[in-house]
Order: sequence, then C-alpha cells, then structure tokens
Amino acid sequence: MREAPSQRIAPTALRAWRIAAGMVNIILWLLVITLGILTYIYEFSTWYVTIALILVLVLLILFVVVIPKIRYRRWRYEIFDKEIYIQHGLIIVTRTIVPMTRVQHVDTTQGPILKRFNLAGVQISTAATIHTIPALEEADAIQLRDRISELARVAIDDV
Amino acid sequence: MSNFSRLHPLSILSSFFSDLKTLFFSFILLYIWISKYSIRLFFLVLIAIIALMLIGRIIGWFRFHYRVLEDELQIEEGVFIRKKTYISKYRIQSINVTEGILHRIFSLAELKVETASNQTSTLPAIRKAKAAELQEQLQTDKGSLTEAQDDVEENGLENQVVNEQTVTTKRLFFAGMTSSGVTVLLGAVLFLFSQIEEIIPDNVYNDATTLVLKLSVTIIVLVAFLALLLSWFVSIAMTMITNGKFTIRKEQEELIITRGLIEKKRLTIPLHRIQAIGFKQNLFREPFGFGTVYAEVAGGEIDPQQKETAKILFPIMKKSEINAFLEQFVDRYGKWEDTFIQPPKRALMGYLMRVSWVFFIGLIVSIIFIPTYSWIPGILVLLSLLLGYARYKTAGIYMNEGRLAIQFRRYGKTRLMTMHKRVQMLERKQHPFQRRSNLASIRLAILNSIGGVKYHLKSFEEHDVHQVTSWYRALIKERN
Repeated sequence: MREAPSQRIAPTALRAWRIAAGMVNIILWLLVITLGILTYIYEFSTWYVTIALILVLVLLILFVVVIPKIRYRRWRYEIFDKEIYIQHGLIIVTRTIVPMTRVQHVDTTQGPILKRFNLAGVQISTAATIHTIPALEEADAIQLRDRISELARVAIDDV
Repeated sequence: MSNFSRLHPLSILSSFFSDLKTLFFSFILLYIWISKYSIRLFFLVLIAIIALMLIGRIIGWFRFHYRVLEDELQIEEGVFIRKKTYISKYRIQSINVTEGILHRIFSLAELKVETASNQTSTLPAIRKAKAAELQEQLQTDKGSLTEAQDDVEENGLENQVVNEQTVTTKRLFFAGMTSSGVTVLLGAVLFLFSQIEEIIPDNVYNDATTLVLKLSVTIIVLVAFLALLLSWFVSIAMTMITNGKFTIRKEQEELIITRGLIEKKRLTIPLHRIQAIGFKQNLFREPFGFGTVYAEVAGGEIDPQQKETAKILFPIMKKSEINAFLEQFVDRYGKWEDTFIQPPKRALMGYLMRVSWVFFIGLIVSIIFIPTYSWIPGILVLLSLLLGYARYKTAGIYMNEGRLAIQFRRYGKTRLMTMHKRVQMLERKQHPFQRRSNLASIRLAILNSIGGVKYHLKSFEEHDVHQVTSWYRALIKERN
C-alpha cells in the first residue's frame, strides 16, 4: 500500500459538503445572534457572546473552508478485479483493503443535499464492516455499484 | 410429520421462572420503593404482576406450534401478534440443546436454533427424545458445504477417533480463583451494601452507625476486606457451578461442548463457522501461564446475559498445552509461534502517552489545586505508564502462508489466531506523528457472533505494516 488509490470522488462534492456545513453553521450563527440580543436585553456579561462568536467563527473556518478541501483531497478509491482499495481520513490517514470475495452487497445512498447536486454514495458491505465512498456523480455511483456487484458475484463466497 | 406439535406444558413453568429471574432485581427495587408507603400494597402489586405473567405464559404456550416440514423448521407463536418463522435447515449455523434443573427432572430439554443472520429460535421445553429427533432432522450433510471443497488440508478419511477433553476440578477451582468476574461481583456487592441503608429500619441503622463510628479505621478496613473475600468466594463458586464438568468433544466436523453442574448447557460449533481462535490471559492468570481458549464463531444469537460474544472452547489451560489442544480439536489454526513482528523502540513513547495522558492532566490539575493529594494521580500516572509499557511489549503480528496471528493487551494478554480468508478487511492507519517517525497502525476485522469485531494494532514499523498488507493482497490474488 505504498501509493494511494487513483480515483477521486466527484469535484462537486466539495461544494455539496461546504453548503451542508454552511447550513449547520447558519443555525449556529442564529443562536449567537439570539444570545447577543439576550445579552443586550438582560445585560449578561459580554464574555459569553464574545466566546460564542469566536467559537462559531472557528467552526465556520474549519468546517466550511478547511475540512471539505482536505477531505476531498484525501478521499481516494480504486476498484481492482479482486479487491477494493480505499483511502480516507482527515488527521489519521486510513487505507483499507477489502477483498472482492468478502463483499456481501453494494448499495447506493443519497441524502437530500447529495440529491440536489446529483451525487450519490456507494456503500460496500462485508459480513463484518461497511465502507462508504461518499460522493460520486450519480451515474458513476450506479456504474460503480453494478461493477462491484458483478465482480463480487464472480468471486467465490465462503464464510 | 406434517402436523404441528405443542411444546411440553412444563415450558410454561420454565419461561415463567426465567421471567421471575429476570425481574427479580426489579422486584427488589419495587419493594424498596413501595414498602415505604405500605407493605400490603407491595404484595398486592407483586401478586398482580406475577398473575399477569403466568396468564401470559399460559396463553403463549397454547398458541405455540412447531413442526419440521420439507427441510424447514416452522414455528408459529404469539399471543397478540402472530409470528411465523420458517428456517431452512441449510441456513442453520448451530443447534444448542440445554437442560436446566427443571428440564432434568422431567427428561426435557431446550432446543435453540441459530442462523447466520443472528436469528435465534427457541423451543423452551420439549421431550428429550423429541429434541434428539429434531436435531437429526435439522442437521445437514457435511458434504454439501462448499467450505469443505475449498479446504486443502481435508483428508478423505472419516474421523473415527473421538477427541475429548474434560477440565479437572483442581484447574476449575484455579479458574474460579483467578476469574476476572470478581471485579464485577465486587461492584454488585458494594452496590448491595449501599442499598441496605434503605432496607434497615432507622433506629437499627442509627445504633449501628454510632457503633461503627466508635470503632477504629482498622475495623472498617476489615469489613471492606470481608466484602472482597465474600465476593471472591461467590465468584469461585459460580465459576465452578456454571463450568463444572466442562467437556469438549470433536465429532466429525463439529465441536460439542457440555458444561454445568446444575444447569447443563450444550453447545455445538461447526468447525467451518469458526473465524478465529483466541487465548486470553487475564492479569491474575498471566503470571502462572494460564488462560482461556475461545473461538470467534460466525452467526449465532445475541445473548443478553453473556457479556462475552466469543464461545469458550476450554475454560482454563496452560500456555504449553495449547499446541496439543489445537492439534487435537482445531488443527487448521496452526502452531503456537513465538516469533512475532513487534513495534520498534520509537513506538514506545506513543504507547506510554496513549494510556497516561489523561492521568498526566489529572496530575497537573491536582498539583495546581490540591497539592497535598497529588500523590493519588501520581500513582495513577505510574500505573498507566506501566500498562503502556506492557502493551508495547505484548503487541505483535505473525504471518505464515494462510495464517495470521495477532497479540495485544488491553489489561490482560490476548492472542488471536485466524486465517487470511477470515479477515474481512485490512486497514493501514497513520496519523501525522506516526508519519514523521515512519510508523503505522494496522486494523483488521473478523466476523463474530454479533456481526463483526475490529482489532487495532498500533504503531508498528511502516515497513512491517507494508509486509502485512502485501501478504494480504498477495493472498487475495492467489486464492482466486
């Protein structure tokens, strides 16, 4: 496992992740604003609001700007005849090998945000684990699922 | 036979009693709660609950039917919601026949059928002869398993020699003495002591408290010691009773395990369902070289009473005896080797830090705020460093052709032996500090009775990790 797998996930995944994180962040901003209003009305110590503000700002930078970029760069996959090779992870880089003979079934998953961007995730299940390739172009996801399904069927299953 | 049978009426009693057993603790809590108001109310409520339980069980028995039809076990049960279960005998992973005290008196038995999807069906009480009949009807021919064809080591001769091993009473006593269940029991005993306060009437409690306070610290320590001793004795007794006459027998391609002095339990494990063999030595047993041999088996029920998901193959055994045992019962798992790939010296820091960082923070905090008591976190830091070092020394991987063995320590030392084809997936993990020192961790997953379990081996030499992953990938290519 010296080199990383070659395939990347869909480029639009970056925007999808940013927007998803952004939505969560907006809720946090609303909370901070509410806190600010309350602080003004009830004259709380201004410390609370400042800390909350800084915190949400940090979270914004982390989850909307930095993390999606790292995640996108890090996420790689490659499908061979006899095995599936996946790389992911933000701080801890994880490289996973799943033998095709261990694959029990493959599904595609799609939440509302992924749907908006025409993306889908591919979920690969072995008897003991589940591995998900997060955001591929919908057509690619379906194609990948079919391909893995076929390769897994050809491989002998013997638990 | 195409007509449905009912369970033996005694199953009403046995399920009723097991209900009582489960609710026993809740009854005690109920007593503590209601007896403050009125003892009579408590008995009323208790009787009402018990009556409802009994009626429920009677109706349940009435509505329970089962039969074997065309290679299928069919069960129809349920009072309000009718549940029809059809289990093809080819999906059955194991059949367990248990005889409790009540069963033994009337020559009955409980039959449990487990499938790959963790589905378990139970016939709580049927005639022993019927249980044997069902077992025969539901067993599949060993030759129809695809697994057998894949196995290179299979010899054509049928195994006529019956391999059997029973645990000695002396060893079982030792197992009881060194059982880690003591700690759980101690917790229960202490909890009970704390609840006694509620039960003892006030004036007795007051008198006792003034008496105790007059006594010196030594007496209090003595009482604590007695509590410990009590839970230890109870734990020994329990071990000897639940594992009394533990016997493992190999018949054709199955391991049959029987154990229990009062409640006899019987477990059948098909060899091909075994995913890995483990040898676990807890802290008490390790200095003497003893441990427990267990197997991770695919499929099977989620037993809420069992905290361990593995099936015990032998409760207590010396490390030196394992090779013979393995050869006799599960020969495909290879020999007990001692040449393991271990983490390099520079990984030691990581091992030490992983365990002790929490206590270091505690130490710093206590030095700042409560300096006089900082010796407590200080000791904890030392103990955690010791544990970290022990973990570092124990960690190891070994590969030989199709076999893989890993060794690790949580508190006790565990060695797990498995085969390449049992490893569901293999991962290489590396965090930034590891990358700087050319270290990497390995994580692998195997099947067990509750789905899957992952084992994490931390901070090995990057090159060695590459060796393991290459081994894994090479064998993947080879086997097809």
